[in-house]
Amino acid sequence: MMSDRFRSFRAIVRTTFIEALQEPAALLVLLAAVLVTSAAPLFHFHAFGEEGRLARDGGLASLLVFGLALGCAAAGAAVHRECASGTAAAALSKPVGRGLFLTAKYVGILLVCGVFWVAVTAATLAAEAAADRTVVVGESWDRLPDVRLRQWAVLAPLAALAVAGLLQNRRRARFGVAAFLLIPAALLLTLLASGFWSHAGAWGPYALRLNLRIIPVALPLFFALAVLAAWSAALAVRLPTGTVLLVGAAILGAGLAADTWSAGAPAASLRGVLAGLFPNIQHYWLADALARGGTAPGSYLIRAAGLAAAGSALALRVGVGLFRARDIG
Amino acid sequence: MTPVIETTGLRKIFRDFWRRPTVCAVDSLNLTIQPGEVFGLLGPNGSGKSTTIKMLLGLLHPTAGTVSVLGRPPADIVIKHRIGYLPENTHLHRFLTPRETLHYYGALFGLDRRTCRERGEALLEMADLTEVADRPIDGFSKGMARRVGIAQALINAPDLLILDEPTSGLDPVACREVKDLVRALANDGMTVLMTSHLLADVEHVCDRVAIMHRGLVQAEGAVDDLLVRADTTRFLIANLSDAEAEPLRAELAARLNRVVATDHPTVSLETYFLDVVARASGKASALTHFRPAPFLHKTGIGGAATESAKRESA
Repeated sequence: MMSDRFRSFRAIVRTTFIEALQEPAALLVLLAAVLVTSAAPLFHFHAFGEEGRLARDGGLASLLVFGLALGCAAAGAAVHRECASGTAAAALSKPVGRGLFLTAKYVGILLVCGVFWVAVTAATLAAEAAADRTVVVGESWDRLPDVRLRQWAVLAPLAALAVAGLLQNRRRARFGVAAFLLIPAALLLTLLASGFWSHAGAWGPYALRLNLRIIPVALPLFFALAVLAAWSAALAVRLPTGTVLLVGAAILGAGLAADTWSAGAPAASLRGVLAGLFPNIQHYWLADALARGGTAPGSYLIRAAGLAAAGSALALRVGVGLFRARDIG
Repeated sequence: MTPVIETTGLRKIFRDFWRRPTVCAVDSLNLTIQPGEVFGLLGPNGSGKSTTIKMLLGLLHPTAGTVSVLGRPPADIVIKHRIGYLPENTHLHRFLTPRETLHYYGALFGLDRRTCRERGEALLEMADLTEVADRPIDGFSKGMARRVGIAQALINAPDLLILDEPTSGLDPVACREVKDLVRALANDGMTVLMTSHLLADVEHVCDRVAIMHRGLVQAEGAVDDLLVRADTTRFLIANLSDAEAEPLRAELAARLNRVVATDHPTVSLETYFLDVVARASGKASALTHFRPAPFLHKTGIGGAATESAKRESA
C-alpha cells in the first residue's frame, strides 16, 4: 500500500515538473540547445575532416551550458518563487515536512533535466551522424553530409511545436508541457527513421548508423546537472533566482577549473576541503574519450553517479537545514 | 477539556537579513480556543493576525512563548492531518485547474486517488465550481479562486479549520454563504479560527473574538458579552404605531425620570441585499450553495471523526 508520504512526494514532484515546463524560458532553452546542436554543423568551416567530432563536442557543450541555465533557473524559480508566492506556505501547512518538500522539488527539476538530456543527446547523435563522411558515390568517393537527417533533425522540434499547438487547441493540453515532451520524442523518432536511408541519402534496408558511444559520455553530464540543480535548489531557499543563476555559474566555473586550483592539495587543507565540496566538472566531461575511439566505461559511470549522488545529497542537506530555519511567510 | 489551540506569551519579532529586529508583529499573546468554538481574530491590517496564524501552523518560528495545537507543538506534522487552512491570499498554482488543485492538496494529505476524486467532486459541487472544474485557475476572478481555496481547506475533513480572511474578494451572496458554511461546520463539531477586518462577518459567525492592535490583544471575550450595553434596555413591541408609541414613551419617561427613546428596528444591509437579489432572480432565497459536502459531517460513516480517530490510534 502506498504510504502517505510517497503520495505527497509524488504530488509535489508532478506539480513541480508541470510548473517548470509551463515556464516559456524552459522551452526556449530547450529549443535553443536542440537547434544550436542540430544546426551548428552547417556553420563549421575548416573542419579538417573532423566534422563529426565538432558536432559531437558542440552538442555535449550545449548539454552542459544550456542544461546549467535550465537546471539552475528552474530549481531557483521552483523553490524561491513558491516561497515568495505563498504556495510553499500552503503546501507546508499540510502534513508535509520541509525536507520532503525540498527533496520533491529537486526531483521534479531533475525530471526536467532528464527530459532535456534526452532531447539534447538525441540532437547530438543526429548532428554527429549527419556530419560529413567519406562515402562511395557511383564509382568514386566523396565527403558528404547526411542532408536528409540534418534537415529532419532541424524540422523535428518545429514539428513538435506544431503538434503541441494542435493538442492545446483540440484537447486543451498545456502547450509548454506538451512541446517540452514532444521535442525529444520527435528527435528520437527522427533517429530511428534515419536507419531507413544511407549516409548518401539512398533508401535501403534498415541499418542504424548512430554512434551510440556518445550516450555513456553524455550521461555524466546529466550527473553534473543533477549536482548543480541540487546546489541551486538549496541556495534558492534563501536567494532569488537571478542570484542563484550567478552562483550556479560560479560553481560551474570553479568546477571546470577544479583540476587547476585543487591539484596536489592535501585533503586536510582549505583547498582540499573546497575540492571535496565543489563539483569537479572535469570528472563528468569525457568527450575526449570519444575522440580516441573509446567511451566511458560502466565502472566509471557508476562511480560518477555515486559522486554526483553524494554531492547532491550534501547540497540538499545544506538546503534542508537552511529551509528549516527559515520563516515561510 | 483539552484546548484545541493554546498559546502562552507568544511573541514574534521579524528581523532583516543582518538579523536586526525590524518589527514586533505579535507580543505576549495568550489565547485559548476550546473544541467546537468559532473564534474570531480581529484587527486592522498589520495587527498580527496572519502572523499568529502562521505561527500556529509552524510556518513562522516564534521568538518567544509556547504554542500548542491539538495538544502538540505546531512543528509536528502529524497534527496537520487534522487542520484545514485557507491562506489570506489564495495561494494556488495558477496553471492547475480546480479539480487538479483539490487532487494535489488531497495527495498532500496522503489521501488515495479514489478518496481525492470523491471528495474533490463533492467540494467542487459545494463551492459551485463544477462547471469550471477543468479550466486553469489563471483565468479566475478573485472570488472564484477564493472558492477553490475554501474547498482545498476542507479536503481532509479537518477537526480544526483556520480561515485567514475567508470572505476577502467574495461578493455579498458568497460572503453570506461562507458564513453559513462556517456555522454549519461548527454545529457539526469543527473548531474554527478565523481572522477578518470585516466586523460584520465575525459578529454573525463567531462565538468568541479577540481584538488585536499592533501585535497585542486589546480585548477578548464572547461576542454577546463584548457588544451588549448592559446599562441600556430595549423593548420590542410588534405592530405598534407611532401614535400609540408616543404616550407610552412619555409615560415611561415620566415614571422613570430618565430619557426614553423609541425607534423602528432595522434589518442589516446584508439581509436587505440578499432579499433584493432573491426577488430579482425570482427565487425564495439568493443563497443556494456552500452547503457542507456530505463527507464533512463528523458523525457520518467514514466522516472526519472516524478518520481522526484512526489517525490518533495509528
